[in-house]
Amino acid sequence: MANRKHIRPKSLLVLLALVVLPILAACGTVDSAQTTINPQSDVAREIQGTYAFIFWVSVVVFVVVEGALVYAVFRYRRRPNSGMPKQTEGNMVLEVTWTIIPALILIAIAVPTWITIFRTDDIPAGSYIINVTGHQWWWEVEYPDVGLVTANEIRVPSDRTIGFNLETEDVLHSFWVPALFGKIDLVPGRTNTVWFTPDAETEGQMFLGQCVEFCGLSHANMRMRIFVDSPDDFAAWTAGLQSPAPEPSGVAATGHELFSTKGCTVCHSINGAYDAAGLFPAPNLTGFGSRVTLAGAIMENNATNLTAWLDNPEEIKPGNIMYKEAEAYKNPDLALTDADIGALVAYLQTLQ
Amino acid sequence: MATAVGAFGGADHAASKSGVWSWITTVDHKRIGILYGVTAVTFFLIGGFEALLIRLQLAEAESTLIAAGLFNQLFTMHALTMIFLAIMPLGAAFFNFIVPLQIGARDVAFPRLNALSYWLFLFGALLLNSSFIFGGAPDVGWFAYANLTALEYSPSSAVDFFALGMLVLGVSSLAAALNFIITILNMRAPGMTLMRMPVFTWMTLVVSFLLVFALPILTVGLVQLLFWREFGMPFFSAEAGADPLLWQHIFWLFGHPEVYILILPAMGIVSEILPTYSRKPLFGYSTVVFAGVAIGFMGFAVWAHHMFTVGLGSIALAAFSASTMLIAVPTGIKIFNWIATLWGGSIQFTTAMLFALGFVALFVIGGLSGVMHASPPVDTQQQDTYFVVAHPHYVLFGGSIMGLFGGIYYWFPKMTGRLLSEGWGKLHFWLMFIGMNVTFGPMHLVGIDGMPRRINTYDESMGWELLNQIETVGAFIIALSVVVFLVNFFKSVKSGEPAGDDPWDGRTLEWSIASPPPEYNFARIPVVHSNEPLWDQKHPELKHDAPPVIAGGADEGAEESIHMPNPSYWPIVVAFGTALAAGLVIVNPWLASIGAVIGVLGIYGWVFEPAGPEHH
Repeated sequence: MANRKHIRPKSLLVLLALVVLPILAACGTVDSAQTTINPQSDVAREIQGTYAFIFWVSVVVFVVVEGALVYAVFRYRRRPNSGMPKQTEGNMVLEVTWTIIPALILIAIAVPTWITIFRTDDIPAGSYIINVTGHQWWWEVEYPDVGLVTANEIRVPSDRTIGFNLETEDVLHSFWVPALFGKIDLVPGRTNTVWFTPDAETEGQMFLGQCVEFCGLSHANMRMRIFVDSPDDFAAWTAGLQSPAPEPSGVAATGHELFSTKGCTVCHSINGAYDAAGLFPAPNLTGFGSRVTLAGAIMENNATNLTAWLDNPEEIKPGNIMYKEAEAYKNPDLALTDADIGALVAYLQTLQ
Repeated sequence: MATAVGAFGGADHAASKSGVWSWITTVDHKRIGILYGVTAVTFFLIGGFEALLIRLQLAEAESTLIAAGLFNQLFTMHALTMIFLAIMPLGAAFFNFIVPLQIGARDVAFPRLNALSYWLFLFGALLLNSSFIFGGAPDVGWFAYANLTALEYSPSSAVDFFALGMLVLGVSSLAAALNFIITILNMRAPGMTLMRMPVFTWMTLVVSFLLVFALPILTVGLVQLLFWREFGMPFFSAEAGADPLLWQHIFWLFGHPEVYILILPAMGIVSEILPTYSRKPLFGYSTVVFAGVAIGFMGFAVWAHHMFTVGLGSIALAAFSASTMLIAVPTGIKIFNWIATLWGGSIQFTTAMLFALGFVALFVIGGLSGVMHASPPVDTQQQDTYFVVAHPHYVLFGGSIMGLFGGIYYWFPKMTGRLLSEGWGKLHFWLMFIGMNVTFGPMHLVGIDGMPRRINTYDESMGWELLNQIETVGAFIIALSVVVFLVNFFKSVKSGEPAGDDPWDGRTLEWSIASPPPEYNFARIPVVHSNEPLWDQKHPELKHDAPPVIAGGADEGAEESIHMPNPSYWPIVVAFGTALAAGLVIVNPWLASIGAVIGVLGIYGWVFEPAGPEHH
């Protein structure tokens, strides 16, 4: 071999640091919008406790193993005066030792894992139940006790344990708001469940989540939010949705009329019409004007965005069923003019 | 060359040494190994190009560079290409070239079947990739979960290309696996007991058994998927009372052993490289072998850890988390034994050694993140986030790819008779090692920050952009390292330093013969007395009880009496017919009979192919 240059110890240490530091830094990213390591509920904290334990065990193992590797590489590098090394073929005591020690470490990890599995499995009795149905690409949210259906934004009372029953109308989805609970898939033909009790200080806060099982073209555009309301706010919200929306006037009245004549009512239900039978395939728009986001919680609900959405939904959410199926987009006779869209936006904003 | 072809395809030996026709008709395991290798590296470049496009799209929040539909095709094809068209066949390249040399054989058990395996692989790969031209590539993820694959949700033929391409590739791998099992069990040199086999050959044997048991499971699933789509048989349809989760069970019962199919060849390579450049035997040879076998067995008992979030129930979660954690024990044993091999050695930092050391260092990281999501509650936060993109990339890039590149630098001199440049090689290693960590390291962080995988866009307000930009820079550093490798490869093939028979002071039989080896490998079949026959022959003073070894080596004149199999073009005909039939199924199942007829005629010709004038 012509080239027998040695690596300088320093360069390897620098590289090791490059690997170690980002991993250690992982503990520090609690501030990002959808972080998984800043738990705000009992269930999420239980999961985080298990994770933190395994993480620190892993850090110790990492340092020991990589340390041994790096030490061996530098200590035993070939020098000009290196003779023939001793031809060691093995050592049973050593090999049994490094079989047993990892096995013990894994048992230490498995026990808290199992405890957490059984502590978090079924929805506790007396929880406040919300039914969620996954659609390509939005979430239908049903409150069976008050007979309300809404979409993508889930309001929950802060003083209850919340239990979700999860089903899907089409393909697999996965329901996940990391600050509150770990993900669970929505599987055709099954009802999966997940639950959490929000921490006291979460009252008035909003939490981000999104679909995390690949579900087709617009998978990235299937997001959601959970708002933890005080019991009073929550009661006021449900009461508000149960009462009829104000009679629209002016341009909004035109929009109201267009909402029927352009065929929107074929799929969208409004004004508290309870849709437990799932007869309406599109989001229930009751109280739409009071929602913070639109189009699967991907953008802020304001006149500009709503206009853009109605103008070209395909560009905002590729593959969406409204653009593919609704008469207003398929049938040139029913196509929406700019004025129509303006009137519809005005009308939809009155739905408080 | 074609003039020399007889009525049934038996080409003259003298005419089979060069030219395109000689490659098409070759049944020499070494040339087939080179075909596998060159094809696999080509697909590695294609899969890498797809990865670069993905990384460009994600480098910017709310980017509109690549549309959602194309993005979904890219991440699906990136995975399929890297797994089935790059890493697996690169492993097969080494099985082909090295295993017969390591066991002192003149070829594999079934040379024409071996050629068939390669051509099926090539045509299957072309079929899968032709979907880009014919209406769009598979866009349902490489796991192709039901019921997104139903005709209702995937009406184009992309899913059919996936299923049929994978079926053809499956036949290829299955034939190759059986060939290698039979070769390894039956064609070892006298004296080479199972526990004297080189570890790479051992891992080839384990991988071949894994393929034989895992691939039929996938085949069943793929046939069900096709029957569902083509004939409306609702195997995975909830409306018909079936369960879409059945597909996930089938897929991962294949898919998890597949992970070990991808990593064990690299582990075998590393187990060859570390002793050679430490000038010490592998520490605890039998423990390393048994750990590899144990990993193979346990690989079939952990599939549901890919399904921790589907609602399996607490008992199943507890059981599969236990079996998954258990698999860390034999994996840990291997790592400790590798480090112990270095311990007390005389370590030489060749490029091959750097890649092997990189393998060990990076695989540890992939293993530890694997233990984290072996815990189902933790997995509910990590599953389908970028954390679980980082994990398989540390295992399959940091592990398999680094190990396989190590194998290229280690055995290139044996294959070509020339050395790869060490200077370019070290540049290649350091760029790839740094690029790999810059690309996949931050994925841990952005995954912990809650970024899901398989999304083509994200809001700037999520705070994921900076980490994604770093990852994209890393991906281009990897790309640069691959360019350095290609330069090194082409320079060295043409004008590399002559290697000699045994440039690394090797320990196993492949280093006892010429580089490149003659067609017949061993003029005289060696007799083996230990698991490091060449080393013991070179250093009799180190062993007191090992009898002398008769390694083959060049023995002029002996060549005349060696019978080698004749070249044949029937394997490529059968492979073409098979792949054509699969492709035509997509157009019209009846048309597929055209391909089937070609395939059957090919088998007919193959069966009745005369042995021809024997090569004496």
